[in-house]
Amino acid sequence: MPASARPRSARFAVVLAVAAVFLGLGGAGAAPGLETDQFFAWGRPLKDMTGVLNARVNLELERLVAELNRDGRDRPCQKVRFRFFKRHRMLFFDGFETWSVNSPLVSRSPSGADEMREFKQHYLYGGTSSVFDTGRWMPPSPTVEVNGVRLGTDKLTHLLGTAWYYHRWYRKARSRGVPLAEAEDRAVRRGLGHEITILGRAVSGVLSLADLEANYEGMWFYEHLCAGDDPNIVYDEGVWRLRRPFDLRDYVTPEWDESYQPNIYIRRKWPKVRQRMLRYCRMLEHPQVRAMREAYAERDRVTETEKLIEEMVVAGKLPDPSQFTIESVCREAAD
Amino acid sequence: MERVQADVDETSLRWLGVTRVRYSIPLEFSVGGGVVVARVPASHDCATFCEYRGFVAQIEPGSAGGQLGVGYARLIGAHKPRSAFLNNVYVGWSARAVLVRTWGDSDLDPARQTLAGFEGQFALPRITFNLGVLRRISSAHEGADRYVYTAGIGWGF
Repeated sequence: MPASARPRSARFAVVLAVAAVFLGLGGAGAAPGLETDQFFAWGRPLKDMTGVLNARVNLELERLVAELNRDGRDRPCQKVRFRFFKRHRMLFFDGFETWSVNSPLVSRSPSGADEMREFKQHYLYGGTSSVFDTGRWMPPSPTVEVNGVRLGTDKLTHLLGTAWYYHRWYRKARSRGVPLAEAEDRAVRRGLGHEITILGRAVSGVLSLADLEANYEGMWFYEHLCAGDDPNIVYDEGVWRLRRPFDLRDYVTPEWDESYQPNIYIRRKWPKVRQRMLRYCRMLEHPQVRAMREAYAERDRVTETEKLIEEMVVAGKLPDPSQFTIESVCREAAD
Repeated sequence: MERVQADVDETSLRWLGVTRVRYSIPLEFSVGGGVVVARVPASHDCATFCEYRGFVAQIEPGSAGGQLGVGYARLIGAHKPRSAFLNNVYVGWSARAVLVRTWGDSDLDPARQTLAGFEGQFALPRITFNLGVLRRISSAHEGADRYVYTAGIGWGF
């Protein structure tokens, strides 16, 4: 190898390694932030998937229990949590989401070649992002229905994947003697920081409050997986067992539906999204949409995430999400 | 629960084509074509995305050399209905044993030589990187380097 070729090769390798690390970090952030569009599912029939998705998660919990029993000894709860997290984490995606977007047992929208084609034309974020938006390079998550709430399959990634990090921050604070409420608050604020920067708004121009809700609930799933008064998994008389099966109904709320709980958009993106949202104004009178939103309103409550967002809005750090609701968009258009 | 378990556990072997275009040292501009062989749940059409973990083999002729690589790949990707090719790799990596033969205007000295080594690849949507190390296995004049560090950037997997 001539002397001139070697430095060139070495320089090229260094530049590539640095680029790979930076893009890798960007990709790692973008991937869990897959976008979803619940408006597209409006008026389309979907079967309730609570039982099927519960069965999928419980299958993995049972396999985790079997694995722990093969080891044949007690383990710290944090190690058990990590083993569960590792079982379904696939690179930056989550195994439960990958399964739910493929399995013929899962009723979802869009589904099938014709509906997929239609979705591509009507997708809420279609044509709303720049070429450099890595979120745009990722596939959108379809909508499923759980306990009467329509949500993107990406929420499974948030609940059982991203939430692992929330829980780790929470545990870390607790292990330093931080009181429970403050540890929870620290984890949620740090999570919001990630969603505003690398995981959401800065990358795709969308801050999904529904994602934050799922992350928050997932933090408690991990906390109670093998600890507390009512754990899912226990080590009892030398044997691990699934004491309480996982149930999505304990976590899912109407706030997980992004057509109900509005996202916060950056100024550049909002006009394009708004234009696409306008198409759904007439659908607000559709019997399925009306019934669903009335049922949501009855179940609606002020969540911890909403309290934090309200605080940020009052402090002028985030725009008021109420301006991004479908009602607000349609009202403005009518005026 | 039984139906879910069957859906997860009943797998089939899938062969999917992979392609890449890249600029790398020492191949310079090259086009690769190969196959990923992996087990995925039999009922999954993978039109949105699936995880593939398995064997990868690829042949890659370039302007300054050609490469044959075999190894292990793990990726999340999708293919169009009835297509035998992965048209989208969202994220993935591979570790390959490679055999390289350089030709033409290669920067190496000697320009024509045969090398063997390892290559690691990391792919994100629309971009792929690779780094590796090769050891010359053909004869050369005294003083010629035995090892070459490889690097590349391109599109595909």
